[in-house]
Amino acid sequence: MSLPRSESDPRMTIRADLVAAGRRRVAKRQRRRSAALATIAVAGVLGTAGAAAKIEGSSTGVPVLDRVLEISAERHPPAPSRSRDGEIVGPPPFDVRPGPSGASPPVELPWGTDGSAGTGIGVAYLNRSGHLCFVVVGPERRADRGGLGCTMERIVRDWLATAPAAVTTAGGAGRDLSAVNGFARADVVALRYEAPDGPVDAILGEPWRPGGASAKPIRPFVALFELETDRLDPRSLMRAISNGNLTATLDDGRVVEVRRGR
Amino acid sequence: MRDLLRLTDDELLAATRDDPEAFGVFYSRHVDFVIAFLRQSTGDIETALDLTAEVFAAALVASRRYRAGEAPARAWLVGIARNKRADAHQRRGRERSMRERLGMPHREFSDAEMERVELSADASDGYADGLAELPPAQREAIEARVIEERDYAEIAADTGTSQATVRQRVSRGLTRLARTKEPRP
Repeated sequence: MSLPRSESDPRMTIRADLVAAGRRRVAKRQRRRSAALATIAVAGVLGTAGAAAKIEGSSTGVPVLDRVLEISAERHPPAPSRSRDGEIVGPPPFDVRPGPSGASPPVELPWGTDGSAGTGIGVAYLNRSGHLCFVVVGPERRADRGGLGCTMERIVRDWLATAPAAVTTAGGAGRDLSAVNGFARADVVALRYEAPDGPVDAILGEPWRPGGASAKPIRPFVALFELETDRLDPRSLMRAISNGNLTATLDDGRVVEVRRGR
Repeated sequence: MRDLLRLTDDELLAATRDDPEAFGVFYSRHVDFVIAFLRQSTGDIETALDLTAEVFAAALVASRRYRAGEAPARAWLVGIARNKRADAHQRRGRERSMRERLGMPHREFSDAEMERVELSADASDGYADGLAELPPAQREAIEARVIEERDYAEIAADTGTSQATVRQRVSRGLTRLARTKEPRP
């Protein structure tokens, strides 16, 4: 193909506009790479937040993630609901510490949509108040910018009884980088998440038995995707992220779509 | 420095993330085809040019999700073009255009500028006239199979017909196209 070299050829004008737009995107992405992980929002099913400020007697197995949990506990000290006469009512205080069954094998997370921004790390664990949690740090491994999301285990088990995978938490993971995480049944071998701008492959952790050897194995997963946050208002954005469908490939070759309302 | 002109479409799209000029080369390689495709289906060069800009803006944004080997890049572009054409037809303007998202200016071109593009599109538009004269079912089957290189099974599922029917439509359409290109006495 030969295009005329004239400035007045509309095709050349559009080409110049596209390349300029591409350059702006590259510059924006380079600025974004220095942005750190923002706290992943905890799903609405979470009870009262808070725990002892020190993580004692239990560990995620990854020191920087233990530090994320300590910081989370410091920022959200235990606050059980009490009646006027001081009696504790409502759910027991949320205990962020991993329970005796420990944590899942660490999940390495190629950061950004192509992994070019380094590797984050996360683990899942069952905490001491019956929540399945996922704690994560970005490639800079800064504990003060880590994320934590928890959902009651029985609710996750209910979801997985009817679908091969479920998103439990969603939120920002840096400027224009968003994340959803959740859990899949152990027979899921691949998972795609339909982000607002298109599908992305989720990163699946190894099968793991929260609560001990007798528990059914599950796999934590994380999907990271870019989203230009000026596109929607924040509420619509969160709704779009939370409602993204999942497509699970099972170990027998079946492909199951989990429709989530979008 | 790499010679971008030597890269395949897949390599250009992969390089776009860090080197926007790679997308410029990809654009130059396919722009006339996309204009011809859209002009054939919309009927006028102004709309086709406007949609072409929108198609490539969408392709620029989506380039990071392009998966090499799943389908030829040109089929991928045609898929975007069909979506943009449908959006324009149904006047789905609730979301901002991709060009707006990218901060690209809205361009208006003179008649002379558009004529220049139209002449060029004509030259690369070998299939368009004959295709336009085919019955719609045959035209759509050829577009899906030959231009977009989609599977017969997928086309059959999309159109609610059998694979045999799709094969028949493609075959008859191609035969008819070949006849229209034969010299007439």
